[in-house]
Amino acid sequence: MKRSFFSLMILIALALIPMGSAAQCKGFVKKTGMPKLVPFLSNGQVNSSQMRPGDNAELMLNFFSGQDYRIVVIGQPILGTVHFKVSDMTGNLLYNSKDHDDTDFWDFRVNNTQQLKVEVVVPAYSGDNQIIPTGCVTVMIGFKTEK
Amino acid sequence: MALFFKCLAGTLLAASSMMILSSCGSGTDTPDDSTITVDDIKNSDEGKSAKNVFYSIPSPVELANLVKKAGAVYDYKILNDPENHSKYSTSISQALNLGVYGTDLSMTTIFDRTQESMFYLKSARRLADKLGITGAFSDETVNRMDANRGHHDSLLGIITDSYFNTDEYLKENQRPNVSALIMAGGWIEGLYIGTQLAKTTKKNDEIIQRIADLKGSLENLMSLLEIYKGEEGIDAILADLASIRKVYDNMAVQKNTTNVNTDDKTKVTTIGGGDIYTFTKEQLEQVTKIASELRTRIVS
Repeated sequence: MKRSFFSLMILIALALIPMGSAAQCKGFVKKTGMPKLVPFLSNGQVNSSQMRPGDNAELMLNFFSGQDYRIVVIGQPILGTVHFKVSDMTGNLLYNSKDHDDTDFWDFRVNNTQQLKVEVVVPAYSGDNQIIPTGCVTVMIGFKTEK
Repeated sequence: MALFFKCLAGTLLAASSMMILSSCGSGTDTPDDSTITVDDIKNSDEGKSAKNVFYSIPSPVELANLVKKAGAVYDYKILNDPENHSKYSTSISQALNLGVYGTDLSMTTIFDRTQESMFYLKSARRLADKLGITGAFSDETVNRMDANRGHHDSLLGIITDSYFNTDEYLKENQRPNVSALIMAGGWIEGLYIGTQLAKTTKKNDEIIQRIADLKGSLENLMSLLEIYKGEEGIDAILADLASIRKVYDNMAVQKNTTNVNTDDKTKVTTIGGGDIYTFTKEQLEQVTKIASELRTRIVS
């Protein structure tokens, strides 16, 4: 009886985690991410995830010729400095935030329309206690419109 | 019995702690950090790393902007009738047409047709309401649009916010498949508008190139929909998109190595090279025909 009740409580607790995590990302993206896109206009998509040290994520996207873009990659401070790389579909590296003082955005335009891959890496955890930090990481894309 | 209550209290404390910790980023005055302290979670995943793959689709505003930049002339007649919203009774048709109206709303706004934008906004709102998406298209959205008539950038910002909030709401509420259908509807409407305008625009080279440029976003859209394969409405759209992709896969391609250059004076970074795809006349006709048939089925 005791064991089954305890198990039930654990299940309820675990079921509540995603709800809290989604709310956490929501606040983070709106409060911290959106302002970093200005003066670019967001593409209207939410690319956010709860990540832990050592996790990585990829975003595949198409950039259109003659258009100005901004990529913003941010993670919650508890995760440390989140790095990102941009490469073409053959793996040719075009940008690495590590080579640019770990800036959290990159502005560029493309001569010809191209499919590119943004790879996000959360640094490995270097602490020695039992606590695993988790935090929201988001990739946002902005573009400039014709006036 | 005492042990039972000890367990209950401990478990509830742990649960509420996790809730507080994982929600702390959503407030305005709390730090954006969180920590999970359950050893079991750590032990079960130790040494493993997860990979998340996202597929980004051009927004309706971006598609409309590309159409305008390509020199197309605005044509209200090719857009879906805003009064059609009452026809859409299933959640699939509501989601697809919320995407369609998103592209139409973006088109009218990009071309500064504010009165028409208001019609599309109201139709989009009705579909969002039917889909149970709260907050994305509200009275406030309509009032903001009304108050910002003539302010091009502000209007585009309001539309983008509405679709951002829609995507966010659906993902938060474990309905990302509905969000994918909205994106599919918006993309198909963009392709339809592009192909129709290519037929009526005299100097249409750039429009045709833009249609060819949609190859990569079609692949991303299909990869996104594949995640939800087997769920209601997804397989049919995937099959339709596969027939379009078949034509795109046969386009001629000129391959170029990519490179990055930053102009010392302007500081603008440009990615050069990249593959250039081109349609034959027949291929464009095929895509135009398939897009028209598919779009007719969606909006009817």
